[in-house]
This record gives sequence, C-alpha cells and structure tokens, in this order.
Amino acid sequence: MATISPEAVSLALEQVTFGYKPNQPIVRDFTWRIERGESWSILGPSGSGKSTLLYLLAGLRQPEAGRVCFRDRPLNGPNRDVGLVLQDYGLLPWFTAHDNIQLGLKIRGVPPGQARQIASEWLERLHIEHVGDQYPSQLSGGQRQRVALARVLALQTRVVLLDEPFSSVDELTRERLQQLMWELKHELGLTTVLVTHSVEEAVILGNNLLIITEHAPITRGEVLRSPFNGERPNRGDPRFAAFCAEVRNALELP
Amino acid sequence: MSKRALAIDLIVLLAVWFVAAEALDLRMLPSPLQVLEVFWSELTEGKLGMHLLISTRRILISTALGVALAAPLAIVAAQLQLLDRFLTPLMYFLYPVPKVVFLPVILVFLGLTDTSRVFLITLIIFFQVYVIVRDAAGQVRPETLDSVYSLGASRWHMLRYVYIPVTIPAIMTALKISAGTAIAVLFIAESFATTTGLGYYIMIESWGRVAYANMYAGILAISLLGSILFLVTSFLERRLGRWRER
Repeated sequence: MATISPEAVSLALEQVTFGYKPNQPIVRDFTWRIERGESWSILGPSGSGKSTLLYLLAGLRQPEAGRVCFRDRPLNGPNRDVGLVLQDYGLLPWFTAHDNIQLGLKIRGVPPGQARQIASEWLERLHIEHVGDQYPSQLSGGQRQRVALARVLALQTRVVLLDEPFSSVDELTRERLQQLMWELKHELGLTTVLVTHSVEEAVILGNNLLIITEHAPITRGEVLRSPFNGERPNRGDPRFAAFCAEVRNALELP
Repeated sequence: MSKRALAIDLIVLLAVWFVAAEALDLRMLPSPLQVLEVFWSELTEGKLGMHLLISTRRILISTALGVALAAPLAIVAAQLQLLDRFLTPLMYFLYPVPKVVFLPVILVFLGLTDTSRVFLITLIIFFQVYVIVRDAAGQVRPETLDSVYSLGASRWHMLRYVYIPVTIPAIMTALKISAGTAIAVLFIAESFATTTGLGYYIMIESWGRVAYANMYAGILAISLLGSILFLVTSFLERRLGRWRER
C-alpha cells in the first residue's frame, strides 16, 4: 500500500469480508488493488465468489468488514465512473436497444435529445445501428452484449466491470466480442475487470490475472502477469499457448 | 382474431336466433331484427343510453379505484419483504373468495347506495390487479435490478424505469380477466334497490314488465359493454406488452 500513491489506485478492496448470510463469508479478509488503466481477469471455479468480488467493486454490495475504495475514497454505493456488464438479464426487456442505451444517461439527467444522439452514436460505433428499435428478446446474444457495453460506455465510464459477459454466445461471436472489447479498452484507456470461465478469454483481455483456487470464502488469489504487456494477444503466438498453460497450471487444471 | 371469422360468427349467431324465433314463434323470443330495432330506438330515444352510460361510469370508477389502490400496494410489497410476508397469505386467502358474497355486508355498512355498488366492483378489480401485478413485479430478475442500480438509479428511477413499465401490461391483463366478472357482479348489484343501470333496465324495467324485446336490448347493451372492455384491455395488453413476445 505504501508504494502506491492514492491517485494511482483506481479501485481497492482492503481486508474485505462479505457474505450473503451471517457467518457464511464468501470473501474473507481479502485485499486487492486495481490501478488505473489496468486490465484484470479473474479465473476460478464456479461458486467460488468471483462475481461477488465484482459486485463489491461496483458498490452494489457493502462489506461487513474492511472497505472498498475508489480513488482512495470509500465506495458506499454505485459510482458514476464504474460500469457493470452482466452475462444476461442486464438489459431492461421492456425497452428497445436504443432506450436501453439511453437509460444511464437519463438517470444522470442528460436531456432527452442529447441522450438519443449519444445512444445513436454508440449503436453505430458498435455496429448495431440496425437493431436500435428492437427489444432485447428479439436480439441475438452477441447483439445484446453489444447493447450492454454501449449502455456503459455511453456514460463515459472509465472503469468497466464485466461478469462473464460473453459466455452465453457462440464461439465465433465470442471471439469477435473479445476483439471489440480489446480495441475499446485500448482506444478509451479503460480500466477493466473481467470475470470469466475461459482461460483464453482471460489471457486476451487481461494484463493481470487473478487466479482463485479455493472455494468460498475467498481469502487470497494468485496473480499472474501476462507476457503481452499492452500488445494484442494473438492465439497463434507460441507465448499465448505457453501462458495459457501456465494459467491452467495455476488453476490446477489437468 | 380475424375480422372475417368474427363476422361469420356473428352472422351464424344471428341466423340461428332468427330461425329459432321464426320457428318457435314465442313472445319471450323475439327475432333479432325486432330486438335491434328496439335497441336502437331505446338507445337514441328511450332510456337505454342513459342506463348504459351509468353502468359504464360505475365500471370505470371502480376500475380506476381498484387499480389506483392495488398497483402501488403490489409494487411496494414486491420490494418490502416484511409487508409482502404479511400480505401474501391474506391475499391468497381472499383472492379466490367470490366477492359478490360480500354484497350483503357491504349493503349493511354502506347502505343501498351507489357507493356500495362501486365498492363491490372495486373489490373485484383490486384483488385481480394485486395478484397479477405482484407476480409481475416479483419476476423482475435480481440481475436486472442490480444493473440498473449500477447506473446510479434512485428509488424513483427504479419506479419509473422498472416497476411502472413492468406493471402496465400486467394491469391490462388483470382488467381483461376481471372484465366479465365485474360486469356480472354489476348486473346483480344493479338489479335491486336502484332505478339506474343496465341491471335495473333488464330486470325491473323490462323483465318485470314483460317487455321481452327491451329485455334482449338490455342484454345486448351489457354484452357490448363487456365485449368493448375486453377488447380494449386485450388490445392495450398486447400493445404495451410487445416486449414480452419472442
């Protein structure tokens, strides 16, 4: 902690303990720092509490002990600079794609005309302008996740938390979305935290990997640094396969 | 529902009626032509129009009251566990009870007044709307709520962007389902101790005076009121709930 200046720390969990039921912690005495501009991937077994870490960082859950800090201030609720993209059900089914993207802007009091304009720009930027008038139930999984991303990015959010965002789409769409996410991350200088089940996805979208091997409660994680420091990971690169093997090894996967 | 099928159904119904009336030649079964003629003259020159308007007004006031009381309560209950735990058993106990059995109780307390009739219909609408809206509001996924909260939403925003949009089609479903019952109970409630409404027109002014053509004209009017209510609520339910279709 002493080596990091407060300005550099974007998000931090400081000795955080949290559980949904009394005396059943999912996270216990857990400390983790995410610096501005970093991209993290969290890998670990199902039910280990990875998503809970994300909800704590989003300010949607309050720790029982310890504290969550954003820019060195305690985070007592959702923050306008921290956005969340979920695997599913994050969009409002009764709003069209266009209205879903406008939602955060409207909540923040952006005038309707301007909100519409910004939403249209993001629809275009993420190549989904043709589905603006459709409801989430009419969209493909990939289109839905693009809308969810657009909704967060339209707010000029600098920290994006992603909870298995691409796990309910087919393989090809998934690779396209990973590519898109990588480009957006670099173009906009985002700080990202991704929870995923896929080792490859974790390596593509994370410069730092937090490996959790224990089941809840999470007390510690192993940190691995990607060899692709800022450069776009290429699946064909021998370093990619080698690093994936290292990650699998850390996860104690066969 | 195709318009052509509706037209064919109507023609068949009228034809069967017409043939039966001609063949049986009974005073208590006038032909549809005669009934339509009486219906039109009673509506334009007689008192049927006034009775129809009064019944419609009673239904609309009861509906507005029932929705205004039940929908907010159901939305709050969906969010407040304590209230919900207290209300759910009560609602599930009272919901299946046919509300018309409370008519004597209501009459004892509120007297032989219009308030009694409106109160009874309001009760029917209230329970139907409560049960369906509570269900719809409870079905909003926790992930959806979290994602909206993460955008910085306040309670007011949750109401405006989550609970109201999910509730409106549910209200229409409830009104569609309760339209028939509400009209049936209104008919009973209007058939005594009043001099207005379609129930009065059918039972006292027509049946009581052996004016059979008028009786059928009254039945036609109450059927139209029910059908229009059902069609309007079905249309609004589909229109406002388009997002539910896959």
